[in-house]
Amino acid sequence: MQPIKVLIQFDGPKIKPLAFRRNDRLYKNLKLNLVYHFKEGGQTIFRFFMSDEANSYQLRFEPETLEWFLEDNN
Amino acid sequence: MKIILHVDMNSYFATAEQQSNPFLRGKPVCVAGKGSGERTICAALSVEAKKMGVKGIMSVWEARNLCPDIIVVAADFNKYQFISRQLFSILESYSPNVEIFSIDEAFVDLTRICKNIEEAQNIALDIKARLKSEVGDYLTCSIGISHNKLLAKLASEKQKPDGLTIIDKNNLNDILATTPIEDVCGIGPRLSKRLYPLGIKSMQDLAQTNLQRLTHFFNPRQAKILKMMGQGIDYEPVLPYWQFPLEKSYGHSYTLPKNVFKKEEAFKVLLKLAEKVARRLRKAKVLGRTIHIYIRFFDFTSYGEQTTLTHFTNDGLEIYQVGLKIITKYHFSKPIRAVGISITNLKNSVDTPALLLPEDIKNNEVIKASDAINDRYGEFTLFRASLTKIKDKVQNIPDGRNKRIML
Repeated sequence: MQPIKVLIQFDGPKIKPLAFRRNDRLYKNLKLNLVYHFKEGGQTIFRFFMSDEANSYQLRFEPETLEWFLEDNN
Repeated sequence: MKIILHVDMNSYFATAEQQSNPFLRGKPVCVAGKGSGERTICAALSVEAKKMGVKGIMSVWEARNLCPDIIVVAADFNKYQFISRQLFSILESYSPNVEIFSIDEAFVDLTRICKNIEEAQNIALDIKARLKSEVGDYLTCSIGISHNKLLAKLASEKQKPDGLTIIDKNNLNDILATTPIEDVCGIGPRLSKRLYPLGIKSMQDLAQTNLQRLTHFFNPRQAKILKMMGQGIDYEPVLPYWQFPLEKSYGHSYTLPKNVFKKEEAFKVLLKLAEKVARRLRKAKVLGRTIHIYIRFFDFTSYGEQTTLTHFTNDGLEIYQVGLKIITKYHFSKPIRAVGISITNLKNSVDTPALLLPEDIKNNEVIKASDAINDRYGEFTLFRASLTKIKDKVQNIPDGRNKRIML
């Protein structure tokens, strides 16, 4: 799980990641395929499943700390 | 006359994975409980994998033999439960009477909502459109509409994927004549095997069989129900999840990564399972008294025994110790493949008298503190030291029978 910086778009109560930066590389033109949230202990975690033309990415957002992570990349 | 709708998600877990990862779409995908482990069974298959002849009961190893290109994906039950809740919320926007039949199936009673089947058909099309727009564009469901649950479920099975089938007075007789008995919900392979020798192969055959003849081979209640099934009659009401009766038992089982010859090797797994069962009991605020142990051997034979305690418990260690006593008195000559533990004879923990003995009070405080930490930081944040090596290994596939997924 790698910390990343994410550019997001606010749409009312919803957010949508538009691009993220990992190791100085910018990943953009991302498509949001699915988003869900779940409880990890007392904390709500959001998972965003994104893809571009070459890969799919699983992003994790922790609202308590406002931190983003890249969980998986295929 | 009732109007019942049955919604069934198509190849659910696999399609959910294809929804979240577009690179899996159009490919044979198998969702397996523990990822790609060779002893894991295929919990769900994509339409493409099914076309290659892979079946849900196969192990990953068998599936790979049949379809070498199959992509094995580890199950993500948070994802599936979330999508299910989204689907059930959509259904609830049409009727308050939604019965959650499994994690990917539900009945909706539209009797007081729709004047006729045509109106229900419009709702069905709306549900399909909303599933795609609000949940995921790759997700599809098959919907059946009829006048009872039995026929609505049968209707949804008739066309997959993405089907919409109506069974009403216009086509009922044709459906009864052409539907094999094993396609009827409630008639499994074992019952079918008992019906075939009687010359009963279709629903119509069952309907035309004399009740007295059926009573000769089945008990009177079962015979009557079978006869009604053959006629497409079902009086069962749609039971919303908030009216569903409480669980009668809690249990977990686990297939070991490899067969073990020493029963001691299965003990740690048993402890983990007992802890999981106990945690669920405490969350549900219930206690249990009858503990059942189940062991499956390498040749798929099994052994099971139960013990009833003099008192009620929801302590994982105590449940484990009772299980251990059962196992240790039995001499195994065969390697163990799987173990399971369950507890029944339940009662509400609120009715329990206060603890008196100092060691019981102390133990209870430790459990409470441990639960509070695990509530805050996640399951098995705090756990027994003996579970260190297997903490993350024993994970179960939800069986989809939790009718209270919405609560």
